[in-house]
Amino acid sequence: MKNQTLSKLLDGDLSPDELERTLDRVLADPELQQSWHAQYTLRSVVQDDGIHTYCNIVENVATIIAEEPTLIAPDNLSPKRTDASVPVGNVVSILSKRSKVLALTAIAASFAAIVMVSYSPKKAINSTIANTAGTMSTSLAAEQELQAMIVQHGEFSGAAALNGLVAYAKVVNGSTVSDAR
Amino acid sequence: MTVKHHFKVRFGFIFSVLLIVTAASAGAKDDDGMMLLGNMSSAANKLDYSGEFVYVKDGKISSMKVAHIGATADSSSQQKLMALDGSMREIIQQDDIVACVLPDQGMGLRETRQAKALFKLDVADKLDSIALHYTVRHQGKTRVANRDCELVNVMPRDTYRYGYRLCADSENQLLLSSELLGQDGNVLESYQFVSVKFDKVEASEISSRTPPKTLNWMDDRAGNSNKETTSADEEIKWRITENPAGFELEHYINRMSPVIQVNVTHLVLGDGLAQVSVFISPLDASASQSETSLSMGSLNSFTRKINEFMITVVGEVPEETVMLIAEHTEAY
Amino acid sequence: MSEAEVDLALVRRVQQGDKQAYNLLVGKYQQKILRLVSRFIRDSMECEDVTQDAFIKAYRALPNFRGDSAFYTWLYRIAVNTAKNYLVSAGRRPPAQDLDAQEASNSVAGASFVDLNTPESALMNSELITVIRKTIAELPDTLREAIVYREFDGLSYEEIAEVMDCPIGTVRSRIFRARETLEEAMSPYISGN
Repeated sequence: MKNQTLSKLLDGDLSPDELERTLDRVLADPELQQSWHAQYTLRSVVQDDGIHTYCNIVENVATIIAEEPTLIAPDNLSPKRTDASVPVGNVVSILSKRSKVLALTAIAASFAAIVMVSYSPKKAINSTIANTAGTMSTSLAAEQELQAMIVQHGEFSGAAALNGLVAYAKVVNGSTVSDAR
Repeated sequence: MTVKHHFKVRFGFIFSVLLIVTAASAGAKDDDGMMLLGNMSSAANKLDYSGEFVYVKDGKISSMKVAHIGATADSSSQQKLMALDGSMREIIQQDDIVACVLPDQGMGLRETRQAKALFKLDVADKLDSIALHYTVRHQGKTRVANRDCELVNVMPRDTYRYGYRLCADSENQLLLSSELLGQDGNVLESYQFVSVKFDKVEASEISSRTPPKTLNWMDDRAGNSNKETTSADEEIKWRITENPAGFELEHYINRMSPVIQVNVTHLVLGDGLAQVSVFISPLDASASQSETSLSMGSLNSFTRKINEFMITVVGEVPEETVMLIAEHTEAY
Repeated sequence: MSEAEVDLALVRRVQQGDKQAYNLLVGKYQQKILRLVSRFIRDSMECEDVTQDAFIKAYRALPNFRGDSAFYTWLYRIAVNTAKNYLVSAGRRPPAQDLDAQEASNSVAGASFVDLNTPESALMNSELITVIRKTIAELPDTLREAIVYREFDGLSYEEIAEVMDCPIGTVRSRIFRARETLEEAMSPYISGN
């Protein structure tokens, strides 16, 4: 089991936002899916009611439904996610498209810490666009804050010096630059 | 004594001698390893070197060019990094000024910060701590970028930290290759020189290719809002009650967050090699998250709420380490 | 957040074309559905086939799932119907007394009417059960308590924290570590997961 988030998912200990992000992660990660299946098998054994058997039909079912038509439910039957298939991509490009905030002061001026390589925590920060502008700005601020923390951490990180570089990006916006002048 | 018995005795004796020799040589290799590690600390700053290297993280490969003028009695070191892929980017450091040049965006940034030298290991005064938490072994010679190198493995003694595989130039101990190893030995992050030379580097090689006048400049040389405090200066209000062995407090900083514009306390913990940062900020009223853990290749982070504060732990350490530190951060 | 809400989130994704999300639902409920089906059908291979059939039928019927009931309740009914139809088509009579659908919202309880154990499955199952029980017994006390409270007693994190007199974060951490250990022990016995 890779991390505690799956454990929380198993227990329903997530907020709605966290749930969607976690499901994105699980569905993108075969290892997490394996953990999911193992943990539910474990649960059924622990809750053993005297029927000492288990099966594993996941792969068989997956093979069969792969040949089935892909379901697209009518609108009135289920609410849509606003961005069901957002590609998980490069945080820099995502933030650059969204952000109007110049984050230059978030850069640790340690040589090792300044932009050289685009930072792409593609397995981590979920790029699902929130439903409301309010949530979006909160999520964006949270992402930027985390990014700033990573930069500040890089200022001290021995690993950064050791490896010579910290892979993260700063967000730059031309109009804000002229504003700042 | 029969011949058979004599043979057994001799064999046993030789075997035990071999064991002793093996153990001794292993010990010698450990001492070699620590010595090499220490030498790596002092090497890079005084050297002139230039070359190209690749950096790999999360399956993404980047290539870069570097030029470095070594420090002398009269001047500090200067260095420049240039991205060879993607948009044009240059980082130039002279004295305590660091400039980031982004010609594709038509802008540049100057900041004043203490810049760390690349490709050097800043551990000279931390070797005891390293020995406590890592096994350091000199694994012999290898070759990187057509240079003879000494291979040193730095392996963690527990699951709270990652390992390193280092190759330092045999002649001058510049780190020519470095790998950060995960708990199952997988490479989380690495860089390696592809070519390197140690000829004198001219000042023109450190200058930007882009004339400064053609750029819009942001100048933040005066704007360092960090304030590092010590227990002598200010009462420390946060502490870690339970720590994976060896992650001692190294820095305690109060700073203004550039994003959310609030005071943030930043603790830096280290074990001699790995660092973990703990950020404590006032809780944002609109924050909905309870606990979040994120894994970004070698970097893990964990965020939790405690009373009116948000604690975020970030570090190039395994996830369980950031979680443990986050769960044992408290105010006092 | 309840299990039903987690299921609903997965169902929505399946309804919008994410077949992978359905695999998670299968993984979650395959054991429960197998046990349910075993109350109708004696033969273990047939049980497995009918369980598989039930999931396929459920997938095809998903566009019609409105979320009025919990997904598991809806799946439960499909599985019961699938098992009954199987028996009828095989010329056998289904049990006279229908199983109460209310049972769908509880953990499966009660003794099986049939013996499911073929020699092969019995061996495999007993090894897995032995490994799990042994691993649980060998867990440090705090981890064992936490995982048993959660998985066996179904206590919430808050309740466990109260019982064990520790922070909720510590409960989470202990449960996670116990699961991690158990998963590692189980992995040689679970093929194709």
